[in-house]
Amino acid sequence: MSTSNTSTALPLLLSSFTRYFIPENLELINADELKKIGRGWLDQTQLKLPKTHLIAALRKALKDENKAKQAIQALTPEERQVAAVYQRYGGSVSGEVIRLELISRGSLEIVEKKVTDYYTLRAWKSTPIESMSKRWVLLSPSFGSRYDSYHSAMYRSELRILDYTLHPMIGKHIQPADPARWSIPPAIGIPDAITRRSPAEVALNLSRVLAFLATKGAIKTKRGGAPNATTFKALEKGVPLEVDSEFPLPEPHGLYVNLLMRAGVIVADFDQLSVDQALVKTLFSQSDAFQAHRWARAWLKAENWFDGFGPTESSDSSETIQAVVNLREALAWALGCLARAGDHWHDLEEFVSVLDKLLGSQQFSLPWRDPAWEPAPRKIDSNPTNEHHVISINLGKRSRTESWLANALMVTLVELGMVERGRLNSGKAATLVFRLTDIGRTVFGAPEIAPTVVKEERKFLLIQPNFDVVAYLEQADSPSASYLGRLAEGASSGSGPVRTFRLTQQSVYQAEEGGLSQSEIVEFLRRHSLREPPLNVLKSIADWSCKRESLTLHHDVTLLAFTTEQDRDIFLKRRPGTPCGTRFVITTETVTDKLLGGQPLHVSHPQGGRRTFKLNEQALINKNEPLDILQKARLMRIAEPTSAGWRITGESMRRAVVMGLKPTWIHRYLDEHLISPAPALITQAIDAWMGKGPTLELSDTILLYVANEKTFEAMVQSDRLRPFLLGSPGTHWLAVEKGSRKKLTVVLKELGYQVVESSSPSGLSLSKLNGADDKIPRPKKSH
Amino acid sequence: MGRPRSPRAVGPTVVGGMKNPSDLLDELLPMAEPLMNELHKHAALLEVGEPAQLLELAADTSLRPFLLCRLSPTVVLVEPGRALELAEALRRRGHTPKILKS
Repeated sequence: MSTSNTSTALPLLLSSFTRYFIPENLELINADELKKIGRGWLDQTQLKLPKTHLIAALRKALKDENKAKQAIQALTPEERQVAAVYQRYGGSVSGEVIRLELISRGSLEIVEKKVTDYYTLRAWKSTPIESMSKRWVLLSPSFGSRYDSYHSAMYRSELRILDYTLHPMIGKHIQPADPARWSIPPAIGIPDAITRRSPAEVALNLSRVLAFLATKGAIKTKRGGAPNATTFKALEKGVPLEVDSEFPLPEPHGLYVNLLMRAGVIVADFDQLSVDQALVKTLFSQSDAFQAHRWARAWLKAENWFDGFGPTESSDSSETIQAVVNLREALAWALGCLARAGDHWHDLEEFVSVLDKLLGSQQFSLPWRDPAWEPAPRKIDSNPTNEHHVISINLGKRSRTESWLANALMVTLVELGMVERGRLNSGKAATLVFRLTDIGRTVFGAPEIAPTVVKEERKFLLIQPNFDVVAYLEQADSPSASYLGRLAEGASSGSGPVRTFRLTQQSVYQAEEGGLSQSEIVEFLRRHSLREPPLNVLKSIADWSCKRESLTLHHDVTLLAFTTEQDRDIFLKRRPGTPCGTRFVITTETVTDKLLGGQPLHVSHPQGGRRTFKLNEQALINKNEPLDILQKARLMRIAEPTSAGWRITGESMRRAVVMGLKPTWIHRYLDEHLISPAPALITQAIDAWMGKGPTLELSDTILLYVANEKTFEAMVQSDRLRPFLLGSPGTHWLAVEKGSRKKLTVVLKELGYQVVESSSPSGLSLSKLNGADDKIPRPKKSH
Repeated sequence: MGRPRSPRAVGPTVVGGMKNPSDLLDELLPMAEPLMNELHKHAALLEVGEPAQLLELAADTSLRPFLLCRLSPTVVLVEPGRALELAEALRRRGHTPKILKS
């Protein structure tokens, strides 16, 4: 591994893409504040100008290169050192990283005053950041607002630093600082029980997870944007990943999915996730170092999966997410320093303890859950560096920050192939140690440590005639391993350097759907196979590809339909397109109405087509415009042509059922083509025709009509009449038991009522169908 | 993906020697005949290698609802908004469709 900076060097891992700019709204800032900003940028006479002139002068000065040089001259040596550190990161870096940089270089110092064993008062001895930000040498997102001063005060109290960008004009004239010299002494001894993963193994796992998700098409998400539980369970089953029981990684699939999302290869669109195949192809073809750098950057920002804890929970606040991100930045910064200090093993306990102290004994809002791996308690004879250590020693545990750092370092980063872990000594004297792998040193130590460039072809596959593929991953690089992960199915969950895969029609199909061509697949197998791949395997791959080619689903195409072949040919002479049959053209061009001969029918498929139908209660469909091919094809499925128009009938519905159509499809057809809603009677009839309607009962019933409401109520309540009655279908109406007609007549006459026999009761005639709203009156609830 | 299921034939088809495949295809997937010039946006089409394949697909009731009408002997108009469902249904049946998005 080279230690020189070459053209293949990776960018600094912790550079921030966020840039803050000079605010436009200077008018909102009061004159005193403006004068403070102007110090360094303006001369004394300009500082005395009235506000409007002062603003004009300041605006000009902030964009003037000479004024920037003047502002640099006005910086103190400490402030210049701070500017140089910002410039090392390209001008922008997070507050957490700059804090560590400046403390480790002695530019920032914390003064401690121990109040009790459990409480120590801390403050900055001096901080150049604040005065630089007030003069706009450092730019932040919230200048001039009350929020800014409140926020600064809050951060000051917690000894934190906001995210800033060095003024770009100043950055142009400041030399970047050299890397910080922070380090810890190497561990003494030769470790054993070493666990290490190659970049190829990591790339393989990531590509297998990705290939599996790609088969799912659009994936529904749950809160937080992760795939839903069903997909996750299928993923765990489809791509089993081995977990080390001694150093458990919580929900490894969650980590991989989060990394793929943060790297941009899994894209969230509202409540769905999909795979960006073009980016997959580009990313996975990059070298070990560039892929590892991408995963490390993704890990730094992975907000939905926490080291040591797994996927975020609903109780995790934004502060908790920020704490994890800040601690990852701190850990990455420290590992960068170790990478540049040489290739050594380090004592875990010493590392987390020293780093925790450097972090200024901040209280990070980490989750209160137990971590997946609980590192051994701090040794009793060790010297507590702060009050959290005192508490943790008393509890017989590590502090939460130390425990989190240990999980991230010894579990997550080992899983990602950046760190290897081992043990010095054995039994009670055993000490856990770690070391950055070659790829880890390259990623964290960039740009000072350049990646190794390996140019020779690597042959690592043994392809068997039974389609099994044995992969020797120690010989593979990341691009080849990720290619294999997309091409073959994993035969087992095994980890380790030798794995068995299997080429299947399905796996080759998915690879081709993911953008790999048959010739690329064959070339890959030939290039990386230890001997020529068996002929039967190559023949099958060719057959599978042929089969795929014979069935193509084009979607999102623009289709043009012409009434005659002649019209179509005229169009094709004027515009490019692919002819389809004699009357159709598929095109990617923008087509105007004029090109289609005036007023073509416009059919938008996402909207389900044109709304031009009317449906009446006779199930007759009337149209007031010509049918397009979509409408006609659908009508032919659900209706019959009659002299009066298309009509939905029991027979047409039976045909639809035979064809495999479900009632929901028919209702959707009508919804998409009807100008106004379908009559409820026909909507219900469609279900009935398709065998989904309710059973209706029709019977001969004797009804007693009682015009007077009080009499009706009395009869409903009567115990004497109850044996003759079945119930009441509505107010004024009583249903009489068939065999009791005569007896009831006798009783009613005895009670003095005059009973008239009627075939058309006067009560019914009151509510005949020619009423005001042309509807049958609904019976009221009977008592 | 599990083992592909065998195709379910459309109910009362009269394949039993009475109709030739061309007539049967006309019945299952009629050829589209535009009455006016039309512009279809975001449409989905299924293209097969040979016409006989269409008959095979149209005879399967789990696929038939997705296929509306033929535009040519080898191209079918797909139900709007159902392209990905059709792709999934085809895969379940053991087909390996090539998916092309414009």
